[in-house]
Amino acid sequence: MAELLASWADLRSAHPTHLRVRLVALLGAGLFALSLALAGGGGPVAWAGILVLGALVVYQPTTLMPVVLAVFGVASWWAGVPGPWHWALLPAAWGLLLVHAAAALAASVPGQAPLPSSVLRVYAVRTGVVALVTAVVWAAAGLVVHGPAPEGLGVVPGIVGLATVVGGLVVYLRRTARD
Amino acid sequence: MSSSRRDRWAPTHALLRCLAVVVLTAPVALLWRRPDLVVLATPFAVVLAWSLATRPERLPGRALALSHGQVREGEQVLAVAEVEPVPGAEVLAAASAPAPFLRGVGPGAARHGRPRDDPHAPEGAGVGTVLDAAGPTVEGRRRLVLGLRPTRWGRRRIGPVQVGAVGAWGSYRWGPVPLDPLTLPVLPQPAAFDSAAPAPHPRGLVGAHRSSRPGEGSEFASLRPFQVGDRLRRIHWPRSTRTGELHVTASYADQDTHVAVLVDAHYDLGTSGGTDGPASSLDRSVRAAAAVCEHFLQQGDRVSLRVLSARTPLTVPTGTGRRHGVRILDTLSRVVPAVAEETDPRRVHLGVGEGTLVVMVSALVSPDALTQAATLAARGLSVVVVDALVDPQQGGVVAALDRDPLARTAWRIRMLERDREIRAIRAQGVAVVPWLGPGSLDVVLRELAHRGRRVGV
Repeated sequence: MAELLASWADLRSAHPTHLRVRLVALLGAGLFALSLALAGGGGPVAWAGILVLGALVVYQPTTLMPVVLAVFGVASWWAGVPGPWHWALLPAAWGLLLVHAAAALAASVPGQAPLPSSVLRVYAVRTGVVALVTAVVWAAAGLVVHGPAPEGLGVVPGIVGLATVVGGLVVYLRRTARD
Repeated sequence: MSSSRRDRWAPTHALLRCLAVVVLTAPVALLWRRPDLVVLATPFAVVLAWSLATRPERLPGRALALSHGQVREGEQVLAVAEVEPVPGAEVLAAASAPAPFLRGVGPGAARHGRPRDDPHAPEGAGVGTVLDAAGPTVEGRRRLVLGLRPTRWGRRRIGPVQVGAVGAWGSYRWGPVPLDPLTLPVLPQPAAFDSAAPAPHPRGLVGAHRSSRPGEGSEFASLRPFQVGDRLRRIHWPRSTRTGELHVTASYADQDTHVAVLVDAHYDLGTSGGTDGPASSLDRSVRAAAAVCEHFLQQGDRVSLRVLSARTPLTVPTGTGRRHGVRILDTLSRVVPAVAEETDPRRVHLGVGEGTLVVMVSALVSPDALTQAATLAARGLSVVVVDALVDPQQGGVVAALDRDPLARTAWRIRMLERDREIRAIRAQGVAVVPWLGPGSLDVVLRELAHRGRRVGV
């Protein structure tokens, strides 16, 4: 109970820039719920659950609430959406990315301090880069599912492709850090 | 969690979130042949890889300093936390712990040089600042500036200031590590005070007060026949021409005086709201004492200070000048109220001699202070007691705000007793005046000066 009250006090005294970052997390949860609905998955309970969890992320970004939202979202998609691929996958993945980035930033700094624009810019650019990588993987998955790819490989090409992208990114970042 | 456990780079919930989503999703995607789940897990996988690749390893160096050695209440001070931006650290943050009578000041105030209170930092709330680690450094460290405004005199504790840093995507965090708090002397802001009345018994060598003796000065005394040693420029030619004998203009000597200021710090009655709120009796006492000291020091008088308190029986010997004024203010900022139960006021050595003007600032609740004033007056000293329990805005003693009717009744009874005690010491020749700002002491000082002249001349 004391923790809930402390979170409420933290939220009430938070700086407007910090509140905007937290609202981005709610926006991400809304985007995911909308994408889930457009893909024909879940139901009112699942959509409302995602929105409620999004609101809880706004309330307590420093707790395990964002991971509950991410796992619940992926599980809802798995259980509710039948197909192996859907165009709404991309906004759904972007929604989860927004939730993660906003919650990570909100949990990193004291809520009462104004967030400098340079930090917001860094996070915006990085989120854009990851969103781009996600779009590439989404397009590749679409090609694998609907294109002339050999049957029977399932998700293996997707995972291999993702591992290649991630491996390349790691090598690039290591080299950048060394320089 | 101990500070040593915090003084390391540790994974955060953000990293565990990425790990959990990837670890839980990948097997399901493989086993159930669901490439859509791979797409959903892609952002988490990329962020996880990014975080691991840029994991910071070295611990940042840090330090805390204050922009001023001492400030007056209501003025701004900057707490500067210096943090080394080690490789991998991207965002640096500092926050000060909440403390009484400390208000956060907006980030623009430091640049514009005037205090601007942060509307998001209420009284006693902590303040924080966040910086990008990639910005300009001073001696290899980033400076995180916290603007603070102490709203009450005293020894204010700045901190402990917590500093921390996070890596890419907030996946690794260092801290928050507490930096040792610093003590800031906050000098009282003297209340508005001015007096045109002279000191009653000036007995020094040089000063601004007219003494009762003739000598070198600026105030006319009489015309008298010329004596050997008189200056030629003092010859009064019209009188000399009329009488045929040289006459000179005689003047009173200008002298300084010794002002002994006694501050009764036995009790602190009322609630202090700092510079922006209501004042307690000790607030009024300390600010009034500071104002009286500054006034007489500016006139060139010698001023000493004695604080009557069990915890801080402070004494400043007689002195003059601006540095002495700062010393007195610094001593006043260390006053802590406490009742001295077993002190015999008649045995307390106050270091006051003949001709000293004693200004006692007291709430007149402690019997010690009343006895002290009566004892000094009985020695023939000029004693003025400033009643610090009177609120200058209301012009009277503040009524009890206690909700308990018994407590309110007790307060009223005590106030009636206090009135009787004040009448008793007035009957012994002690002047008691409420503190009402500029000119509060004028009437009393003039009365004392006249009394002294009638007796002495």
